[in-house]
Amino acid sequence: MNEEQLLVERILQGDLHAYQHLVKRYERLVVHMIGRLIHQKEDVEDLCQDVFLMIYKKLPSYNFESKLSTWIATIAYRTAINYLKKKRLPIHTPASEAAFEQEMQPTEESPESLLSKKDWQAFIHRQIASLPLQYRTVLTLFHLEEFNYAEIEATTGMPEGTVKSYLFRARKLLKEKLMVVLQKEKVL
Amino acid sequence: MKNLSEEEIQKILEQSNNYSDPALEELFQQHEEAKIYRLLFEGLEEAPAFQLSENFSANIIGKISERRKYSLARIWGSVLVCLIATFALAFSVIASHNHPDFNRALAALLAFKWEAVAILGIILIIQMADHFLLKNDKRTIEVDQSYP
Repeated sequence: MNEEQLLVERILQGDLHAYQHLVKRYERLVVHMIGRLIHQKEDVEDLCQDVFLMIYKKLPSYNFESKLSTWIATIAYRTAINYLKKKRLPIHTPASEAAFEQEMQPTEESPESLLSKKDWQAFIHRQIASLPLQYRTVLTLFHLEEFNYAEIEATTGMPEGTVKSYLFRARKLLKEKLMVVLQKEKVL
Repeated sequence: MKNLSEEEIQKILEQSNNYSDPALEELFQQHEEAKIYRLLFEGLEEAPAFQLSENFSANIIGKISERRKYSLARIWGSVLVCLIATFALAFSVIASHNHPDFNRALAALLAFKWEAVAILGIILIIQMADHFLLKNDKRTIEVDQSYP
């Protein structure tokens, strides 16, 4: 029995300290998923809480077929999607990519201010926030959580080919945005 | 190095664990796009500043404890309601049929009234003790930061 199984076993026996340990271990994954998918920042913590309450409730049905992180990410992803549906907030589809590109063209960030702040990360995070939901999802899982294609497929239900395609297109869109800013400044 | 497509550049960076790897130098020198992709990949791996409150995990445990308490109270409450309902139903049936045993049954029940009060009192004490212990448990969880 590995460490993860032991932890789950102890939680199922009613050990709340063990569950607190699980929460601490996976809160980063959950907040990244929820934070990237939900733009209503005031709701992010409440939703993260809902995710962990749901995990506790569903833990007896976890069968160790997938990694615990994949299972938790799946619950976080579904919680975020359900929230968006319930609030009737738009869930972007790749079909809206053209509209997104149009949206992306104007930037309030001047190259000078970007360079002076040396804040590429913040700039990239802002651009990610305006990507379609599916793109944000795959980028977060692949780059932040280091999930592989199969794990992203298990989490989101998107076929592996679609995951690869979304990753490629999302990075290409972000690269084009970055290129415009960088070429203006001729920093390359 | 041959001309690489964007897909190929992405693939190479995807498989690399270290963008400062000298093996990638040629790629960055020959492909302007690769330099931008490097910047992008580095940015993508940087965690965004989403913050949860300091007591986030303790709050979750507190909520779970509360839910446990309520579900236990609900079970006890349901048992009690069922018992009272059964007695009430039985007595109303007996009374409505003006059964001669009604007065005898009522007297028998009244004879056990202190036992019934004692049972109710015990249930109440269990509930209060449960509430008190859960409060203490929550405080312990909040200070226990070093698990396991």
